[in-house]
This record gives sequence, structure tokens and C-alpha cells, in this order.
Amino acid sequence: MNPKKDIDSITKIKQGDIHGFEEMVLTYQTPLFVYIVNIIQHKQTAEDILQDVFITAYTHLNTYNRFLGKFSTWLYRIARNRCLNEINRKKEILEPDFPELPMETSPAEDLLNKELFESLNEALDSLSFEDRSVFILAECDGLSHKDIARIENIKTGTVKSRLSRTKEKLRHHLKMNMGEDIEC
Amino acid sequence: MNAENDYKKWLNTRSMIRPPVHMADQIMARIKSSEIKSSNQSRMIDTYYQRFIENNLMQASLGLGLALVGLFRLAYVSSLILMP
Repeated sequence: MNPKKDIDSITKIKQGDIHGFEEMVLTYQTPLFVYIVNIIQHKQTAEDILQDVFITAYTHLNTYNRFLGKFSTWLYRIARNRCLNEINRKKEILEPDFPELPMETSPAEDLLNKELFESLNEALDSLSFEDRSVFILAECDGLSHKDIARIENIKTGTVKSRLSRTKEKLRHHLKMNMGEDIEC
Repeated sequence: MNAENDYKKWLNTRSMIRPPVHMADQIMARIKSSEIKSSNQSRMIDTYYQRFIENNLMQASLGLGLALVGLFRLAYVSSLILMP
């Protein structure tokens, strides 16, 4: 994520060069997908939302004001609002379809990890949309508190308190279910 | 320490997810489709004219302001000279 490169790409797009947007798609598709899939917890829906986010960004590029924030935070904000709409629209709960990654451990460890991961996933699911969004942006996407504050339209102090509250909830959930205490 | 490692592993499983390989191509194909392209171009043109008017309005009001200040100074100086 390079703000100067983003501005160059936006200039290219405004001059009619569509390849400028392709550069942006390639840069941001992965971090945005990580965010969306963790919020929505359904791979196919996350793919659809990701496409919509880029289409919205392209058609509304003229509304982006670089003096009001980075292009990346603008994109994340579109993604956040789109996810929130999706959650509000679909009242029925989607069957979790979270892509699993292969683990390089023994089968016994795998089983333990699976149990632990399921417990943590459960804890994350139990969080409110706002808390989950802040947690994923910070821990999975590695964004700064300042950027998260812009995306969520809250103060940096609120980001910090939400994050520490979420970590405390996860720690508590893990302790209750697995008897383990984590330092996160 | 072990629990901490497990927590980090869990976070890794969450952050190492990648979109399908063809995702960027799909997005670009949709963007290149004439409907989206033309709607974006018309918005760009609208914005271009809007910015043009805004910029010129600003310059025009600035010029008018400067002219008024100049006239006021001229009137003031002339009144001083012509005063008996």
C-alpha cells in the first residue's frame, strides 16, 4: 500500500488509462479479501462483495478526495459498508464456509489445533460487527490504529479500547472453553 | 507460551487467505464492459466541468476582489490629493 503510487494510478485512470485500475486491483484484492471473508465468513459471498467493492470504487472514483485520507482507507470503508449491508440484508445465517489452510503438524496436534481454532472462531463470531471489524483490520490486515479510526469513523482511542476489549473477550472465551490463557 | 503460539497460528490461518487467481481478471472484465466504462466516463466528464467552473469562479471572485481593493485605494489616494 503506497499512497503515492495510488495517486499516480488515479491520475492514469482519470486520463482514461484503465491499466491504472488494474494495478490497484492487484494491490488491494488480497488485503480486502482477507477483511471481507473474515467478516462475512462465506467464501462465495466474499468474492461477490470484493468484486462489487472494486466496481463501486471505479464508478465513484471522482468522489475520492485525497486530502481527506488514503485511497486504501477509502477502499476499506467501501468494503466495510458493503459487508454491513450484506449482514443486514441477509437475516438468515450463512453456513460457515471458511477456507481451511493445511497445517504442517502431526494429526494429534491438528486435532487439538482444530478444536482450539473452532473455539476462537466461535468467540470471534459472537462479537458485534464493529468489534469484529476493528479486530480483523488490526490483527489480520495489520492496519495502524489511525487508519482503522478513519475506516470506522471513530477516534483512535476508541479503536484501542475496542481492540483491548475484543482481545479480553477472546482470552476469556478461550480460558472458559479450553482452559488456556493467552497473551494476545 | 504454547497458547500464545496457537493464537498466532489461528491468526495466520485467518490472514493467509487469498482470493481466487482469476479474481483480478473477473473484476477487470466487468470494468471493461461498456456499461460500467461509459457510466464512469460520463461521471469523469461531469466532474471535469464541475471542477472547471469551480476553479474559474474562484479566480473570477479573486480578480473582482483585487479590482475593488484597487479602486478603493485609487479613490482614497485621489481624495487625499484633491483635498484642499
